[in-house]
Amino acid sequence: MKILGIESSCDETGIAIYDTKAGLIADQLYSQIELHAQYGGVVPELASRDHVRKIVPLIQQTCDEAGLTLKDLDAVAYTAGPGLVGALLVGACVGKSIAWALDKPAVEVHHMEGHLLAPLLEDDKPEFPFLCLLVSGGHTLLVDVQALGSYKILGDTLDDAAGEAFDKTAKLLGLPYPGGRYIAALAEQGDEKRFKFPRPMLNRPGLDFSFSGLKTATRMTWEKHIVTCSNDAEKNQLQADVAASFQAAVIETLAKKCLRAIEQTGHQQLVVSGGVSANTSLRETLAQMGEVHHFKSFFPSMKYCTDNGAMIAVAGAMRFQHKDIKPHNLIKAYPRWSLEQLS
Amino acid sequence: MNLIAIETSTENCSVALLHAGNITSRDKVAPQKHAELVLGFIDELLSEQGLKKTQVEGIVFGQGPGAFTGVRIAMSVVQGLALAWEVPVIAISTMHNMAHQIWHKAPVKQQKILVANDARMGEVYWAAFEVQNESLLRLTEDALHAPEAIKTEGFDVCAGSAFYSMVKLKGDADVFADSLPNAASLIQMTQGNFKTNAQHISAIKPAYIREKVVFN
Repeated sequence: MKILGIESSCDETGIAIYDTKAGLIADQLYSQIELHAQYGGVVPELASRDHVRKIVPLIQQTCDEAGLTLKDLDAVAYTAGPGLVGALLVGACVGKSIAWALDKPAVEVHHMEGHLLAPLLEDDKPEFPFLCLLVSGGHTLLVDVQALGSYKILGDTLDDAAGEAFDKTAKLLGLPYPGGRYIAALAEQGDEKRFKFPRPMLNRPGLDFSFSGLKTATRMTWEKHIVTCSNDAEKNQLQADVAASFQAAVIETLAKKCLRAIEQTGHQQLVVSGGVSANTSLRETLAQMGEVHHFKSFFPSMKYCTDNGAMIAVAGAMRFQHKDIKPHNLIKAYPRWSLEQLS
Repeated sequence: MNLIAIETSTENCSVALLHAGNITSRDKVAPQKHAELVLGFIDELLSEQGLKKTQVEGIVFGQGPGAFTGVRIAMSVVQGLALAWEVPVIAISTMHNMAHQIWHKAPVKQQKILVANDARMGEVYWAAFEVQNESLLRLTEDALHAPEAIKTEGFDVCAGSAFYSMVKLKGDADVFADSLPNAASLIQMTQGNFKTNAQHISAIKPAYIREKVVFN
């Protein structure tokens, strides 16, 4: 079965074709990062407009890459939510219209379920049940995954998402947008022990996260020390040390909550997905922790950590096999949609 | 020729079908429901005429200016349909559509038509047209301005939501403030020359007119 996947929930237009026998057979992505960089964040209207601009050529390129026409597909999957409503509607309108026009089923995919299932694109893949840490610019979730569609949120962030804390700290340090990757690169040259930032919520029971206090502590430390720097070398070292200390605090917090959740649930597999799962230090920390505490960690390959069409195509294929989905003509987008509402 | 038309750039969710020389249509004022309604309307029109989806030979749609989301719903539905059916497309201005309706309802030999819709944020989308020698000519491109900048003198008809209260009338034009664009007009406007003017969907863009959308 061949399924087209369409992702347009935020600032990436992703189109892919997944074949349940042959795996991923085509995958195209356009990122709007440069468009939004000058504003320091995603501008929803500009994002929607750019999806409209890019979606047709990307679909054509994806079909060419696969050597298929749209008529050869068995179903169309698209991200129906959560996300920016205007951006979601572009993918929903295009995806549903293709499916309707050709009398094929259209599969509404939950964006976070796409991330959660992204590691299934890899050769070494997890099997249900598992624990999942979904960690991105918009989410920080610990999810107990029993089976496809059976998700229980064990922990969520009370304020900023982890990726958002990375991006805001990067902005504070004068790094380009989106700054998560720059923090990670800079941290390699810094001393993570120079500043002991708070490890939010670790001293409390439960699996929820909070990153706004850490963000404030980082800002106060930066502002206190930057005025004492007498040359560029000192300033650069301070920047690297703050980045390293901040990153260490986030990663230790994420890792310890994962371990706590593993111990509570008894899962032996941990799936880590979403934009922050591209962080090498997080990957290494969780892999080492797994060796000590007897669980195995699974990550998507780097290009499937951030938003992409491939994960939507895979999730769509699994959904399609899981439930009887008939063709219909109602286009809907769900800007707010909890993973727990799925079944 | 079998054509479908879609216009969703205002509160009117409008779809039409041309088949065997007849136009059938569905219009519903349904703000924020356009995405949910539009394919169902096309389904109804096709089945009423006993047409299969694969018999559609082309698509006409309203490209704006209008509500951004509405403009994009028509645009992206048409992107999906045109790619799936491999049929060509014509995009038509919302303003031109409204002027055409005025002229089509009461055909006169000579007439100046001013179309202006509320564009929110204290501005209006507008364009001027003239009927001459039994054809409708465009006098100005679609534009976005403050209502005070719109001069109504010399026009015979003023149409569009900007004439409820935004644009002050000077002169003695007939006013149709409740005028809305519709899909049946799109088909009338392209009939006879669809094949000449239609393009591949990849060459077609929406017309937002308002390009400044970030305010710091």
